[in-house]
Amino acid sequence: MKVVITLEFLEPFSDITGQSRIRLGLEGSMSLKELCTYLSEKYGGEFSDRLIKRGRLAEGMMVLVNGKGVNNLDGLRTPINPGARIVFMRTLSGG
Amino acid sequence: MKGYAGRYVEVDLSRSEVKIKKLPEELALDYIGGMGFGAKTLYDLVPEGIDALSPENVICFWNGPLAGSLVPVSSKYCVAAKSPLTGMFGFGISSGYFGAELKRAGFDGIIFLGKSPRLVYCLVDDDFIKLIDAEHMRGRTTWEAEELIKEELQDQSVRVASIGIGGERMVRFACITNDRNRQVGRTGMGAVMGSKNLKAVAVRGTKAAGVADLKALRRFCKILYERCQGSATEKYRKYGTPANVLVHNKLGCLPTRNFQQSTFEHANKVSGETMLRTHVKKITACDICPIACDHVNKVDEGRYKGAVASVDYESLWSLGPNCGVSDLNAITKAVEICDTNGIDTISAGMTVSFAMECYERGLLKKEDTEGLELKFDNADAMVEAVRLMSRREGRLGKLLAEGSRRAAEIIGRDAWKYAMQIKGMELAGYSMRSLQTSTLGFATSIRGACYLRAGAYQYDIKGKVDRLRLDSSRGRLVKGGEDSYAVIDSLIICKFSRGMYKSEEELARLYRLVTGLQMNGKDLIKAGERIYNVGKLINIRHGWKREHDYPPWRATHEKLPDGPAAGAVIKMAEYDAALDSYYRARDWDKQGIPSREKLSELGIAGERMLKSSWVARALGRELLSPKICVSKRGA
Repeated sequence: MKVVITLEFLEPFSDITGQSRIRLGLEGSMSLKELCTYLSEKYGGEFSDRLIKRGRLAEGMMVLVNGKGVNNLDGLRTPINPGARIVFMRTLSGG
Repeated sequence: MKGYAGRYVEVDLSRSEVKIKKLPEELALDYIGGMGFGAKTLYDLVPEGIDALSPENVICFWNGPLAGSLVPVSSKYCVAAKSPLTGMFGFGISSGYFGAELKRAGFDGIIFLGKSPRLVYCLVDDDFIKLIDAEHMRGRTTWEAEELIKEELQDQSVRVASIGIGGERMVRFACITNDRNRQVGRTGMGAVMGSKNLKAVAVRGTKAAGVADLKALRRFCKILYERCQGSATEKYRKYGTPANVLVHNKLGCLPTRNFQQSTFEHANKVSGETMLRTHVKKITACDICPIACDHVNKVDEGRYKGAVASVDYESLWSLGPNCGVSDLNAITKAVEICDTNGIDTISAGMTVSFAMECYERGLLKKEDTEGLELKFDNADAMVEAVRLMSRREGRLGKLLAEGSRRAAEIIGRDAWKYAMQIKGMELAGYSMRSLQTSTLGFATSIRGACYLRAGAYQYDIKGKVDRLRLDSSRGRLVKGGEDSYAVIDSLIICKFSRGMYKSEEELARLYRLVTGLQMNGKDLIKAGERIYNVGKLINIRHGWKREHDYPPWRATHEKLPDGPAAGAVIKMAEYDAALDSYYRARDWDKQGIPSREKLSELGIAGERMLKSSWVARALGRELLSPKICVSKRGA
């Protein structure tokens, strides 16, 4: 089954990918971790180096799936369903 | 006792008298410096019932024990006084070079009493301390005052903290500007300087600030500098704090149009990424800072061509999305007006957005706004309102210079519902309904709505709690954040470097290496708790009640209409439970009054510890209650 999802990249991921938004059509359902593996193959290892440390989301980085932080969902095991909107960004910090 | 200069200056402006006093070691151990010294000064010297803009108020400048040392981002200072905006504990912290220079002059702080008969500035030139006539600087901007003083002293390296026309005319949220782009922003400390006819404080020092163990400190600081260059501060270095705009927007916590919404449809136009590309001309750093977060904008074209300002997230948000404005030229101009005339950008933007909502709802008419079409999204009207307010000019300027709480009282009817303030101080750029632990921290903050007192948004964002609701687990989190931040603000180090320290033990190690005084991590946190309790006592003395610890009406009565947090609202029962849990975590009673046992445990003693008359007033058994302060029960 083709899974169409929308990905948005804020910095530093927009710098790494050179894109701010893409749509992807992927075969079958997948977890966030599998999606990250796919994106690392597409954009280079820096993508996952920045995002994942020791098998978890790196400190200071954040992924939203349909507006919710994956820390509130199932972390890297969060399922990516058809139509999902995913944002890769830094976490909020004081300013 | 190293690190500390061991002395402070007391200046009686009414009598033109200067005294140099010894800093007691127990004060250092109990209150650390900065915010802690500010709290203790006000607790000891400012009596109840005084007008914050009267000569009876006291204003004090304190650096911290690390200022002037090689500890990264430690050149900070705190200014404290009874606030003319909140009527309670007022203080603000600034960076730049001023704090370290004061230490090099041989002082930990300066306390100003009374009121000068003429406009003066105070020169602290090592041990030479003098009040110098500044009548020729009346009406001058902060930048002009700084330049004039440097010219008069024929020394470009003298450090100046000054007020502009906003402070002279006692705009209730007037700030103090030092080193051109750094501000003691919040709670109206510039207005207190203005009320005392104190235009500026100029400092020049030639002494080295001694440290207890230079060799070990050097080794530790090398590690800290390397950490400061790591990924945790990368976004501050590249984009500055405006990098937060898009992050807030994606999370649905970017307050928009006076907190009516939580996302801004034009966020991309005012993002840190856009600003860096189109407006940032220079990136600068404070003294001994390896991060360099300060992004200076310049407008190259259009109506506001030539405007120059250092624009951080809070300024950008309050004068931008919060007013529905997406024009970076106008935002930069408004920040420049705030900085040069000397008013707080957050309260300025929030007070304008309050007026915009009142105008759109018919509570203000064109005759009240100097003919301005003061609607959301009108960038030029926003800039003009800021200009009028910063100078207290015209009917609109005089109204808004009072801040949103007092302006709402003057306007009357339902205006109080749209004043986004707590204890009289306007909120910062964190949505109340989609970051609810953060909102509890804003509300319990002892200086009024403030994200810098507990940093409680971090619990919402890290997913440790459900950010769209509250429960009784939150009180302990907020209390922990407050005590920890009180330590940071007393040492004083920049909050952007807080992630460089792995624990309180590392902060304590730093303190020991600099001062030679024996403190461990628990001692430091206990000092933080002591400082917070003294701050609370100051507030109780000046009329605080439990109802001052509630968020604005909108937070509990209107659901968020947009974004990923659409439908979120703070439920009053949940808020009550969370506030109760906060008081329990603090060992305060249900009304938020510290027990005598708690105060004794913290070593806060003396006959003025907690007067029964203050408690009676806090419990509603006496007069003196601000007419408008809360949303509770939707009054």
